[in-house]
Amino acid sequence: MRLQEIKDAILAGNPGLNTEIKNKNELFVYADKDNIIKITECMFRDFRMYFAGEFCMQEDMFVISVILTSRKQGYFVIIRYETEGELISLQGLANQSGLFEREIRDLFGLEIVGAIDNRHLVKHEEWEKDVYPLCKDFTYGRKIRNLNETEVYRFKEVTNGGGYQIPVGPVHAGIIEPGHFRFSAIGEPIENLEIRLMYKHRGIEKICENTDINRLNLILERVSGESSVAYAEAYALLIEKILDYNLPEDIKAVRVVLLELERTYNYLDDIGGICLDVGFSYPAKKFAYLSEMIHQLCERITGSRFLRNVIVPCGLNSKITLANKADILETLQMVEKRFDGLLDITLNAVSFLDRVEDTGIVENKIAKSLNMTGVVARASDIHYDVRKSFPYEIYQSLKKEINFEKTGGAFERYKIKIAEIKDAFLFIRQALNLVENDVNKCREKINIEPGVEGFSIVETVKGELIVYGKTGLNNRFERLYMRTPSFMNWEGLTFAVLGEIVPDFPLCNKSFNMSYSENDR
Amino acid sequence: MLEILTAVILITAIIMAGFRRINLLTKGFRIQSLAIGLLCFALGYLSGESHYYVIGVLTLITKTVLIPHFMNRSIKELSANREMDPIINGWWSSVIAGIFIAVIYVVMEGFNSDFIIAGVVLLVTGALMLVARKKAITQMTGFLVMENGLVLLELSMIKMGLLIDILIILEVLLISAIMAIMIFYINKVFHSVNTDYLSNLKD
Amino acid sequence: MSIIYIIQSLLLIAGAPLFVGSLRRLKAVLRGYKGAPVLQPYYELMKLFSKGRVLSGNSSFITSIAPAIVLAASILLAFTVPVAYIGSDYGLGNIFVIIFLMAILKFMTVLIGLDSASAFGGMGGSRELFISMFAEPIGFLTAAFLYFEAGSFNIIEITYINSRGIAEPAAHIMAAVAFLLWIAAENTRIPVDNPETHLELTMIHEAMLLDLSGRDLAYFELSTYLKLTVSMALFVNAFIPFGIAASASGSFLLTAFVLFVVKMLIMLSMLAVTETIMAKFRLFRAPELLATSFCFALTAIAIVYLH
Repeated sequence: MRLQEIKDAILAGNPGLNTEIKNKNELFVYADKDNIIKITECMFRDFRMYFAGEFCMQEDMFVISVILTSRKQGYFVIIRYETEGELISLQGLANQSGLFEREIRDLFGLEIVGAIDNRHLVKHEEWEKDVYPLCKDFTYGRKIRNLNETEVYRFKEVTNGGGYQIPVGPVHAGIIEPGHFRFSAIGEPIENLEIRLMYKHRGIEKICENTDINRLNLILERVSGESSVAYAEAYALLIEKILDYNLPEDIKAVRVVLLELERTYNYLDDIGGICLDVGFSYPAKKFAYLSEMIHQLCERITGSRFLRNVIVPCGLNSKITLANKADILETLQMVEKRFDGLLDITLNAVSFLDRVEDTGIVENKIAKSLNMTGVVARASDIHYDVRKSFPYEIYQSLKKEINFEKTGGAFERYKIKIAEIKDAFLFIRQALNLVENDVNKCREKINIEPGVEGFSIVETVKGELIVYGKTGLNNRFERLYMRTPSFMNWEGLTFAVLGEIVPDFPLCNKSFNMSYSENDR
Repeated sequence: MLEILTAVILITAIIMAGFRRINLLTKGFRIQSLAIGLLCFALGYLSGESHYYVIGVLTLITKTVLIPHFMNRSIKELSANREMDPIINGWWSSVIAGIFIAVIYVVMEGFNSDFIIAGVVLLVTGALMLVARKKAITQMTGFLVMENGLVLLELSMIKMGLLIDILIILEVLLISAIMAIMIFYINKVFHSVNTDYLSNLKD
Repeated sequence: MSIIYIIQSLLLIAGAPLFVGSLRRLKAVLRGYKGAPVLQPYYELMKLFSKGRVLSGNSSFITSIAPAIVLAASILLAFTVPVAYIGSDYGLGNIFVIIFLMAILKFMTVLIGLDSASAFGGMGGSRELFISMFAEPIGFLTAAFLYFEAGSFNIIEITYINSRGIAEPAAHIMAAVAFLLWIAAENTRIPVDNPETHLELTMIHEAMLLDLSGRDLAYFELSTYLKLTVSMALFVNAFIPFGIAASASGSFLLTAFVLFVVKMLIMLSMLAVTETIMAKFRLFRAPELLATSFCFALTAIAIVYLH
């Protein structure tokens, strides 16, 4: 249904409700504390929307916004209500809303009404009490003390005989990001897994409120090192949407090339990681070598191995010459040839197939109920790709089909990543066809008046990323919220490992490969 | 040389009795047939009789080239590429195969030609695969292993007519072709080659 | 025992880290990168000796004595194996001594894993014993095969007899293959365990050593290298013993020694190739592999028993 039809249907069902359409595909519905549950329920039931997130802003009162998306037509519906100090819980109605509500409670200090899960999410036990970092009265740069006495964080436990708990992390034997996994195992098979993160909480959203708009792309790129380009792209899209700015075709093509290059090296690393975790070392090292080739290519064309500080709002911060274009095509050809050879080795190796087939299965029902996005969702038969539903840059003409698999195991995630890499090679070549001359560096200073808001959505390596911004005074954002893909997808891992034996957990974890730092922000 | 080849044949027989992946089975069968073919050539070289060479060439052509080709074509259609629940599970098949082989060696103590014993071993292992598996592909491979055992048996007998050799090999070729086609059709109708489903047909 | 025995076993002990270093270098070359220098294990051991020990508060006296016992057992193991020279007295080489020394190693390692009172030590110990449960019969069957073939329980005598000629090559090859799989299972190599993994949840052998540091860890690492070298020396000498020196003359000794090193290098390359082209099996599928190996050993015995 088109956006206007939705608006009319809502107004017909709930007369007297205030609604507004902004930025061509965002519908804002202003509700209040009493009818929020009823309206959200009606959205799910009658209009088949998907719950994407919930966040809070502080103006005179606290404003809670519930983000819903329509994947078929590509628009947002945002339901807002104002509150003094209470947050109406949508737990039980909207999947995984508990995560968002616990985060709002920790960072803003609101009480959750009707909550099932009430534990702290962001603030671990050593934080000072009654500290709410995202509130306006918490000054930027204030230091927080560590408490000496802490309360206990309750994990779900298996209490019958024969079961035991295995705590892993946050300091691991290998050098990886910090996260705590608590297994309950009976013998070798895993009975329950609970994941606790937020060890890398850096308060990025607060930093964003205190940085000038023209320098904000640098901060956003550092939310997660693996998806730097995608975050910069989301920020650029947000600004361009607010300003209604149109870019020339060749800059759009270059952006697509950079996005797909990032996808390529990330998925090559992922596949190599899966091989490494099952002990299949030859392809693991070779995939890592191919990924390094792509990184070196990125450094040659933009000066940064991770393509940082290239995509800026309303322009491009690096010059791409025709020599660079030839370089890209040549490297891709070399990588593609070796990639095909390596794939044959892995897909024919019996010991490798034995490990990954039938491991770490996430069923379609569970994936739907957790609102997972990205590769892990597509492996479980969910047909959703942001590049197709909310097309940006030149994806409308490039992306025709969605790669998906039915079973949802580690092998399917492996196969989809391979398919995405092959797609990426194709898209890069097609996009480079639109680059006929040198693309020059063009960057302008941006000034936005206060009070403008908008959403942007991008398909990162991990899944769907939604960025919301509302501008404030002094050319800064008053609130910048990022609904990162890992935030929703981590729960999927707890379902994927049920029934698997403990030694297969690293394989499941690596086939997901969710980012700790973008979950924690 | 002969001993090494005998060892290879026995090793492949035991591996095929224990493992479940179908492409491992076809590879094992190919290696086994190759070893038998080379064995024929070695015997022919040692004894100077020409009909060993003929058997060797025939074995090589049919069993290393033609039959695996048929099998691969019907395997390509299969969606599942390993035996999911065999009737005798996992490592028990290896152990049972081992026990059978030891028993055979004890029972056939009087025979002094290695190849008779190896031939009977292959017969028994092939029969084990036929009986203990459910997928038609592995059953067919078991049948082919039994055929290999027969070839080994006739190698150890001194005078076997060339005509009978050729007849046996041609018969094997024909039967394998028929089985490959049947498997293709079973797969098409039932979307699986699990022979349990064939019992649905009776009623 | 003749002095040459003692010298050659000391050389074996000194050379064990060198063999492991060459194995790692071979694997690196196969995978396409330069790899650490061949002497790297020596540097690692020296580094570990110079570090201090950190003991867990929950550990008992086992953690104090077990590393020394383990090192002692593995050094003794090195003295039971023939290397290049077979004299007329057959020294310590009884197969059962070898088997039970390895059992002592395993027992103390598992105890240390449990002693650290961490979840990983217990898991690693249980997995190690699970794999051993399937691997030990293979070890015993191979020992029985060697007895039936050569008529003696002393490995040095077996080597001498086998270097004269092998009665049943077919059975010999099958038992050799079975023994190779046993080496992979006992020494935590692919396809049973991944020795280079950094993930504690998949470790089998390393998990038991996670809590050790300094001198203790150095003892354990050295004993692991020794166990691998001794297992490979056992294989080389029991199954492909041609060229062994039966008399103490210089040229025979030299050729025997060089042949030994060459055979070990070939074995190391085979091990490196296997580790590179295969992935690690699932934990509960490892018994299938070991059962196949059991079957090989059984067949080998059947063939040789009746001829």
